[in-house]
Amino acid sequence: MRLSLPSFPFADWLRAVAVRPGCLAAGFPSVADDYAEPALNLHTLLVPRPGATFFMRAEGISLPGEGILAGDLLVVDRSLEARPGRIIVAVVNGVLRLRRLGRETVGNDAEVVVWGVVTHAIHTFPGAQGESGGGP
Amino acid sequence: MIALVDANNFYAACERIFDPRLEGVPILVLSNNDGCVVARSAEARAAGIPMGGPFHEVAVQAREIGARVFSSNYPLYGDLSRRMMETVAGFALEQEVYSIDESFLTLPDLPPAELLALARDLRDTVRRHLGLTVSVGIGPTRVLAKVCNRLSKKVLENDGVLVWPADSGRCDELLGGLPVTDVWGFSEGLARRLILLRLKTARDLRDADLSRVRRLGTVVAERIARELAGQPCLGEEDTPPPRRSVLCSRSFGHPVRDLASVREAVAWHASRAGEKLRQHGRHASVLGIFLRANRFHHETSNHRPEDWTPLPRPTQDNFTLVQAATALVEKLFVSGFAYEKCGVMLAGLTDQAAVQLDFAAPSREREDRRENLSRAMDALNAKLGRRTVRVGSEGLGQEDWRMRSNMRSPNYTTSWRDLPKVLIEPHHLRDSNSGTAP
Repeated sequence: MRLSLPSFPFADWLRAVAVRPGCLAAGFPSVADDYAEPALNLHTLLVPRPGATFFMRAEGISLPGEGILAGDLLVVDRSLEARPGRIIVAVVNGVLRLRRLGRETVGNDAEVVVWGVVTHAIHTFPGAQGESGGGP
Repeated sequence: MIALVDANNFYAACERIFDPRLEGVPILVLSNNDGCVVARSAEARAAGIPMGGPFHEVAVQAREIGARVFSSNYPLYGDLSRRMMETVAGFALEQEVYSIDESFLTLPDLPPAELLALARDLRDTVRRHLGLTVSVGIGPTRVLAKVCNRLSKKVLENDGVLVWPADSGRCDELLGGLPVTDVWGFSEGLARRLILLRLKTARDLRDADLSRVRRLGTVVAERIARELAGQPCLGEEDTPPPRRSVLCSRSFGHPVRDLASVREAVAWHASRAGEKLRQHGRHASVLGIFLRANRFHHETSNHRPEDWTPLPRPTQDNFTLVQAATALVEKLFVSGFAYEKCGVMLAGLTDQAAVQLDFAAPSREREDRRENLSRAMDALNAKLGRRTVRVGSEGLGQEDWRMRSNMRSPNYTTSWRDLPKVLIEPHHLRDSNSGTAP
């Protein structure tokens, strides 16, 4: 009976051990893992809690000073606590409205129901959707 | 411990999330072709509008009570169902999806007070994250979890949450107040026979001499009696089917890694689901599938996709069901995972009699022929054993299905074009505190 170790990359393994002395104790290092880096994914950055996050579209009068323009894509996270100063989607008279939660209105403004906290406004420049003119 | 979590008036609640004007307004949701009422809000139910019947019979009444009427929006309901299941699963050791808006959870055996706190937390979290209200019933068996879930809704002060009490006097009281006809899993006929045996309440059944119950000629009653006594004996496979939906699922014998095997299993579940529909003379409006990939290997292997697709029109036809189910498999399957379970769910069930003709849909005759064929397949399978006759998995040719759904709400969560709109309010947005306030 012959014993063979056909394809184990000893050279790479030794190099990995050499540059990171601690890893011998953890057993065989996976060589591929040292190089595998997943591509950056915008969704994981902007939507850390997908179950509770919704997208909305801002409309009305643009407010460049606040960083919000009409047509912006809003990322709204319902799991976050609405603290004073945060931009929120509020329900007032049955309509969704974009507001900043004031310090004085906390808790005592019965008419304002917080729908969710806006975490990002994403602005798309004209023409960026491509020649075909898709998108909003 | 086992919990049964379900959403209250799920479809109507989904419609309300993105349109707050609907708060307090009666809502009706109609089947795909706007033929039948498939869901109601609490207000519409209180006004006495019946479920499942043809819409034209209640149209006048609906107008009188100021009801808003919607065509069913399954992309929306499916997305919210998926989110709800995910959120709820975070509270459990194990989850078993039971229908579009119900799931069983396995919970650790904590003292009742801690279970109550957990259930309240779960309910608050789902409400905060999704704007949906769920009811939670917790008990040592599925039947008792179901009993608690029911009582959590019926008795106002329970506030949507009830844990099976440890005190036996209180248990007797709860089961004594529950008519045997209301116990989960009994057909009408069986419930009537139990009453003939003088078993009128759930408590009577629990305390009955099991040999007497056994003489009814069915194992169901005995099993439910044992479950009522706190002795788990209903597994996932013999849990009574949901009333307003159909679920067929099973674990694979061993982990499965290839698309073809998963597709085949899902097609098989779709056929079985169709069989159940035909047994009960019902038609489904929407089909969903879920897949569960097992967890060993990487930490990223927690793969539990679920998705729903509306059916061209309410149907009980195997070909349509299998085709829709396998299309979803193609969409959800990701190679590199070891799949351990899959299932097919049907919802939006309507009665056969109430299905209306639709000129845009394929010819009625053809549909009938297909349904006859499905029935013939059932008969052959019953006679010669399961899986004797099956639907081939090749495509059936695209039909020009056109749905009548004139009153459908936007696909708020699944279409970039349909995103909810938020009105910018300049005077409420500028950070006055940073400038003027001290």
